[in-house]
Amino acid sequence: MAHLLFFGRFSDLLENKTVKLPENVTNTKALTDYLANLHEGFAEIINRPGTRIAVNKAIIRSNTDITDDDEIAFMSALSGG
Amino acid sequence: MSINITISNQPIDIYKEMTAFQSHSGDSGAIATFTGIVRGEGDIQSLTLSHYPGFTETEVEHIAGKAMKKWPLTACRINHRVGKMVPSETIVFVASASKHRRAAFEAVDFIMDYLKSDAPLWKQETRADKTQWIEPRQDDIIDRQKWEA
Repeated sequence: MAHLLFFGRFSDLLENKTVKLPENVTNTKALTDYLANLHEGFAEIINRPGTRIAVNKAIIRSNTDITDDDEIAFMSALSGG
Repeated sequence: MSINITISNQPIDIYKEMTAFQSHSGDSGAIATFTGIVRGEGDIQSLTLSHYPGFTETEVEHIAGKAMKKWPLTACRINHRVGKMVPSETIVFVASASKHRRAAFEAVDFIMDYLKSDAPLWKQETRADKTQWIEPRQDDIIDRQKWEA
């Protein structure tokens, strides 16, 4: 089962969940599209400046293959300090 | 050389922090610190910081590691609070130790610039009538980019 985590603005839309990924969701691009289709507002957040995706606690810079063994985190712009 | 990172919902006691840091900074000739405090501007009631456990700590340690490589530091400490805070509470404490002051000053500045826009932390501000996400301003991005030049 894949662990989906949502931080910042994403957490307003979705709660963290453990799910079996749909058969056709085999990479982060497909997962992003899948979630954008299901949740109004997701696409707007994913396109905001500073949004990042991490797979297994590593920030990815391009489309990345995923499986049910992975932890995928959606993060809106980071803001500490 | 030592790096010490804490990400916690516990209040930060800057006096204890300073004393502990100095005792671990060896024979450094300079210690620089920065303390960030929740501002009570207008009708701000609270700030709530969230983090990504296990990832935030790693990334903040990575920021400290970059500072240690860039300057000849002997020690570096970052204590970042998460959870709900009210105005006047300490949100972050950063300290660096070096042989000379310039490196210590610059390292603390560098770390703060990276914490502002490159650490997995999310900040929500609650005012009397609304709650909103606070994201890096353009100035914060420019401040961080100056170190990449």
